[in-house]
Amino acid sequence: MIATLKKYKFLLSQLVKRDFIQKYKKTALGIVWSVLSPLCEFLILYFIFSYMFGRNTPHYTTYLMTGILVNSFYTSATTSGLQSVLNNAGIINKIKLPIWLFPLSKNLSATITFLINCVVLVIFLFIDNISFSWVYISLLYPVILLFFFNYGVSLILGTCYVFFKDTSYLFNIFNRLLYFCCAIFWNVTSLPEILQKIIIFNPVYDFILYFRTVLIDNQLPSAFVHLYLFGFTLVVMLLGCLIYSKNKNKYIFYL
Amino acid sequence: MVKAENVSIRYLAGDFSDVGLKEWVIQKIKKERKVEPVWAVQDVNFTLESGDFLGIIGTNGAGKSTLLKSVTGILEPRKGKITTDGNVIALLELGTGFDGDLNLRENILMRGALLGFSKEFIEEKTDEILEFAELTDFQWYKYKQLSSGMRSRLAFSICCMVNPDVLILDEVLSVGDGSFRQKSSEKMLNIIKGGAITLFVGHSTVTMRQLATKILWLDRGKQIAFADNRGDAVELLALYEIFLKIRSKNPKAVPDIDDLRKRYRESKIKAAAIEKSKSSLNDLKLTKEEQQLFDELTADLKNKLQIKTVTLSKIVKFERHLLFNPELITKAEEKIKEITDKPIVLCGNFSICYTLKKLFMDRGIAVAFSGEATDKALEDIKNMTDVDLILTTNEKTAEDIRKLTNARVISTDELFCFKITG
Repeated sequence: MIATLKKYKFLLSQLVKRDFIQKYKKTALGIVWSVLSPLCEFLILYFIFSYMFGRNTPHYTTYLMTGILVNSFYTSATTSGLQSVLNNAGIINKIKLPIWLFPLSKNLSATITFLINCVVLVIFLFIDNISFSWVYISLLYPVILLFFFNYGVSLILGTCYVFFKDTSYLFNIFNRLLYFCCAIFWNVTSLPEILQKIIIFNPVYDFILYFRTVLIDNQLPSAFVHLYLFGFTLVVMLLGCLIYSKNKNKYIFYL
Repeated sequence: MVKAENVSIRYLAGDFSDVGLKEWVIQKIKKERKVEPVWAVQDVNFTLESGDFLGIIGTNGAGKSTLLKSVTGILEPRKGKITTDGNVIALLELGTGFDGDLNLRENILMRGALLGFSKEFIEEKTDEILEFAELTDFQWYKYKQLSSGMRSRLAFSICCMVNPDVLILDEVLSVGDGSFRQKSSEKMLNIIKGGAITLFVGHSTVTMRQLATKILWLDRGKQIAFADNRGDAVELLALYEIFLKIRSKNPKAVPDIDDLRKRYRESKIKAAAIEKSKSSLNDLKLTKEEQQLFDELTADLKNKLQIKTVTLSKIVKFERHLLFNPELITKAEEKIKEITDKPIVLCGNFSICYTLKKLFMDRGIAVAFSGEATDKALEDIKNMTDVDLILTTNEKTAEDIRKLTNARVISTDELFCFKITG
């Protein structure tokens, strides 16, 4: 797999480049949109919820922004990853290529967008009077895990989507639900004790939690969060690879 | 090298690709999921060395495209295995991988990347590709702004310039118009003759007859025959043509090589009998019965010829352009002069008759009548006394004229249109 990756390194870079060109073609602002859309979401949520939740949440701007960014990284990577196989049916049907390259390229573009957004996050930290600390370097851990997590989900769902077109709608609804279960704009402490213990099992919430603990509390999250995220990502990734390799020869009949 | 060993490819057919989750669950429960595996290709074997040109023949649905898909590696054979060396490039995918919003240079990079080449290699070739495609002035245009001719020129140039080791062609050897067509077909022939392995799929046998070193015949997924040398390849093509003729009358016909070979030999014998020359039969090693057939035919023909009706239907239907090939016209001229020295009649399609009339008149053959087979024309032909050769351009006209005369007529198949078959 590493050898194949090396061989198609150039193709991968071309695909990522194409993703960006296609995404922002015919727009006046172009790539600025990748920053602007989470920013707008932030403004809307801040406007509506800052009074309700902001009062008992310290550093609410940073709190809200990390939630939005991590969640939109997850959502955009998986949604575009899900469609990538079907959208490139024309190429897959005609040219022999490892199919996993297509979700990978979508995930890479989403990661790049996320990293650009992180620059905006730094500005937010500055405004919110949070100063830089060495603990921040540990954020590489959730970013790398989240990348693999997203990729695993893309492989699983991308495969399902080829066989059942309903997957896309179901996944949209699921993501909507997940959005509200991630404590993006509200605070977990307002929940009853028992629910607080359950929500910790939502991996996307844990990714967000990781960011918040490091950025706002300036400390590392608990060992449980570290292990849980690692374990969950590993399982998703393995499942993705398994489902993909079991079905890769069947794709062609359904495209 | 391309090697196929006992290759069988299974395809899924039935109403599966647009099935939603609900239908899938219902079908699973009711156990009536109608996905049937279909063997598109069964037990196919062949080996190709560098420089080989394999023509793959067979009627629609024979499994030709499926086989090619597994040579390119898109479809994995269910049984057996296909091994290929070097980079495989298929021209049938001419338009894929281009993006309308990228300019030509970016598209060349993208397309090169899809074919698995490195950045350095493609960047080095880009100017050469643009120049060959005659699109250097358009290099900063977006792909969608190009005309369709320009698009195919670009795609073709990329495929050629990267010097494929295995080339897969679908019916086409060249693209574009006029000078570019010439240039592209020359380039393609260079690649083919320069040691590449070519797999060519097509219904037309003309190109194959010129280039094929090997022929694979598929019918409904099964390998009917594989000719692995030039001589056998040409014979197999002839058998295939005979089969196509049978199949046009009976769509359910199954190719039977022995029967086809018998017919092929007979037709060769008839042709030789008409030419009154046995030289073309030397390679055939006639059996006793065939020898007898030849003698009978030659004897018979001597008594027959009163009015000879020859149709040009073959030329008209398939290779009208052959009319403009001076060599073939010369052959026709010799043949006519051998049969008769009296004026001839040309009947049928107006424009073809007109062209032929001019050509024949230039070569000193008198033409008594040339034109369409209207009632009046037929009446005139009936009353002509000093004519013993009528050429018609189609079978129907020939039939009409046969009704008019009491003379014994040789059927068109037997005369082979002077063997003007290219």
